[in-house]
Amino acid sequence: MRRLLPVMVALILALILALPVRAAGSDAIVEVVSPGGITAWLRPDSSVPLVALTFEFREGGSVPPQKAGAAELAARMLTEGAGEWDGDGFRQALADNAIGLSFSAGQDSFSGSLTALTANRNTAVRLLRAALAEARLDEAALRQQKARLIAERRRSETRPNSIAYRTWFRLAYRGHPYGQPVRGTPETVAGLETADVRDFLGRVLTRQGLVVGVAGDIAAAELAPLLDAVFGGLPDRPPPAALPPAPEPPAGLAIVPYPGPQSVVVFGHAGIPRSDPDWYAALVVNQILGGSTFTSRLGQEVRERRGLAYGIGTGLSDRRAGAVLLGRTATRSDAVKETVDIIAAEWRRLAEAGPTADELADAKAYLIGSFPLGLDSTGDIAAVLVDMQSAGLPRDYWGKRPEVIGAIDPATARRVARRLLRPDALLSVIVGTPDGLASTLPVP
Amino acid sequence: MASRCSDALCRAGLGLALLLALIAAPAAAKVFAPTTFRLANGLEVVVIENHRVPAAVQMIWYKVGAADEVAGESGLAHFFEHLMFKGTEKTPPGAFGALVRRNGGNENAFTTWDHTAYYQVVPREQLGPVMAAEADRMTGLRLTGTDIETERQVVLEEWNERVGQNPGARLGQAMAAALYRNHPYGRPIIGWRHEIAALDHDTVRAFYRQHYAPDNAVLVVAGDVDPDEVRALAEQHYGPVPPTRQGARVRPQEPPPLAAVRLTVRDERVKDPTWRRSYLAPSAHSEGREHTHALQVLAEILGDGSVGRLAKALVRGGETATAAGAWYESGRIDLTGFNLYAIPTAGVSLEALEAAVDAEIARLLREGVTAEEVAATVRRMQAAAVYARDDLQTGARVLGEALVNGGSVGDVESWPERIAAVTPEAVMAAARLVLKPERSVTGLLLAKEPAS
Repeated sequence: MRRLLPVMVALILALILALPVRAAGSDAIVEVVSPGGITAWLRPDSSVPLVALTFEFREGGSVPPQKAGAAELAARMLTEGAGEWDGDGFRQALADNAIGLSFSAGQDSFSGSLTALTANRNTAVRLLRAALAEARLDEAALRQQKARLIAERRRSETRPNSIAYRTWFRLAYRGHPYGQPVRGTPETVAGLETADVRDFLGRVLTRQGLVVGVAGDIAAAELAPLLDAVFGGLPDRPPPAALPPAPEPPAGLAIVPYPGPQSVVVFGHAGIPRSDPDWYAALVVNQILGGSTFTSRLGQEVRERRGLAYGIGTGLSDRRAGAVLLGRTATRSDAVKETVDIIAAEWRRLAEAGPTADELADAKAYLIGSFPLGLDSTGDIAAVLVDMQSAGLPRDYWGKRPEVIGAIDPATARRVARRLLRPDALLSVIVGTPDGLASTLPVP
Repeated sequence: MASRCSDALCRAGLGLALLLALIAAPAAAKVFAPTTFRLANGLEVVVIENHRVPAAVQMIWYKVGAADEVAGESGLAHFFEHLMFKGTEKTPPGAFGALVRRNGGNENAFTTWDHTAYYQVVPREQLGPVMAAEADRMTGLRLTGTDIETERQVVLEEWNERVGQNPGARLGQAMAAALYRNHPYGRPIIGWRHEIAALDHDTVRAFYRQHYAPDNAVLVVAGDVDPDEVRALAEQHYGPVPPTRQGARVRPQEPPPLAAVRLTVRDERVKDPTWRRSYLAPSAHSEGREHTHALQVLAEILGDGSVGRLAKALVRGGETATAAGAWYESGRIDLTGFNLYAIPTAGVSLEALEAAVDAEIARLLREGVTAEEVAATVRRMQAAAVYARDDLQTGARVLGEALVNGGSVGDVESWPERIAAVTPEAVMAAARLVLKPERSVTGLLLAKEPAS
């Protein structure tokens, strides 16, 4: 593949999902409130006989550092047997009915996703309800899942991309939960017990922290009772308290020695929060700097002109307690210094002079146009409905998004470029054996 | 490189193996219901209507891949894929991509052993302009020496990312090279590094003239489009491109397998070992193709990562492995691989792990599969054909790959019925054909031994 940049996908997805939605019209999203008081946003579409239900529980660093990985282990244990089904029975029921059910742990949330054919919808609902309310958390299953997670974490410690990101966040947020990997380390996972998983689920699976998005082949009247069936049994408590703000990441360079022909570079600094009025202008600035490997300034300078890398990109992440602007590339060891210098120079050039009129117009057009094109599957749509609610966006914002982005003028773009891009604040982590560079920060 | 997974299906939680089965060979129910036609210059066109969002996907597939390269020129098809993003006389470098992105769209390309494909996702109104640009670069590319040399550096960096930094990829390359003693599937798609570095400019230009032509391509358009409108646009943009009268694709074929092969790759970056095995197997287009559907079912029964026999026996019951499964790449043109993998639990030796896998295979061959197992697997695979309709790109990928490799629309549309017709006896006949030691390569990925 010529230009897939797999490690950036998560960031790009975060960026896309962070945008409000444009669709046929605001009337395309229905707010459904169940008899028991559970709210969901629904976008019905019966063109394919399947439904996607996505949900998110508010979390916020409630896992202490020595228990890192508890949220991830909890996510895996929810499909390891629940209610009337033991582990094998639960997996077999999912497989036999072609039901997709998965949970995932994030820094700010604990989320889940259910996909089922219309014909299997009722079975899917029973399985999900059981997972949320009656997970068995068997000891034998816990041992297996721990062994699996430890093996995955050990493996990730041999991957330069994983090492680079983990080191970046550890350096950036020392002493704050954002500095801890959600999936834990082999050591912390080894120490986890059933009680840790049970405590986490008890704290986080609450009705007050819940947001639900649904898309596909289901009508509002059908969804309302289904919401109570799935979520009605959860306790009506507030979610864990919000995190304290994350510290400002330090500036500097850290090199993690790693053998191989290539070095991975992860670079960035604090970003602009999602709730900030400058958020959309920051998205535009990011798009121009590193949003696409081809048309962005970094892509042009590093890949297209000089052939220094297969991929380079930047993205804004809107973590609630500490937004970041983060980029990644990889280049041969004797070209790392040149590449890092180009990145810093482009950072400075855009901060000081702002974008050109053409760049601004193209970036705005891309951000306006790309959103509806990405909403072709029910799972994508359901996920966006959750994201909109988490970000506090009104349903009718969906049609206004093009106006908001379209209204960003050159003066605003210049001002926000200067505010967002701070070349002297860059924190860079290099994993490899780069020539002619030395760490200025201790590697944790 | 081959894209291994469609997002929609992965998100639906259906395993990779299932998706490969679907994409690989004949796939997906009478759900895509495509319209097909052929232009006078030989270009085959497939239109899949999907009106959920006002978008269109254009995907053009060329019947040339890494296995069509001449020995000594490995990596050429993939290198050329990169060069297709340079400019033409009508479209300056970067202008095609800028057109796509200015409309919110995205584009990419991928190369496999059997084909090279290029695609764009754009608002429906932009289908004409992207067709014009795609047709233009079919024969109008202007490549400077600087273009080729700069892009060679990019491709070498891609090699660094995919292979140089990835011990698992080194194991895969070593196993393919051992599985195929004569067929070019034994060479990596991205190429051997020293050959990528040495490809000369004339070779690159000749490859383009030889393979990029309307009678060597399949065009798939999916989305909020009307088949008559697509036909008119295709006639307008692709119609004037002259055909080149392509010859048959002839590749060296494999002799009968002779011996089981074992190999070990050691790498200082590896912490924990991995076990893999590949059996030489029929594909949907090769000799023995009548076994394809049974092999797809077998791959699920044996290898589903959650409920497959290997997962149950090794991961759940015995706690021998942290992961185990199988996948079968049925879509290739020539003999393909039926593949197994397992990752041992800490403290379990690779010998014990391999013995546990072999015990499951022996049990399969001795006791067979049950009618219930087959029926449940078939239902799951048929459901995958419904999920495949839930996004824009899956249909374009499934149909494009089937047609470019020599299959038909009918193969794809009848896949659910043909999967349903697979019997336990057919599964066992396929298993006995393929799961033979002499057809296999077993590969171990290990940490480097400490220096003594």
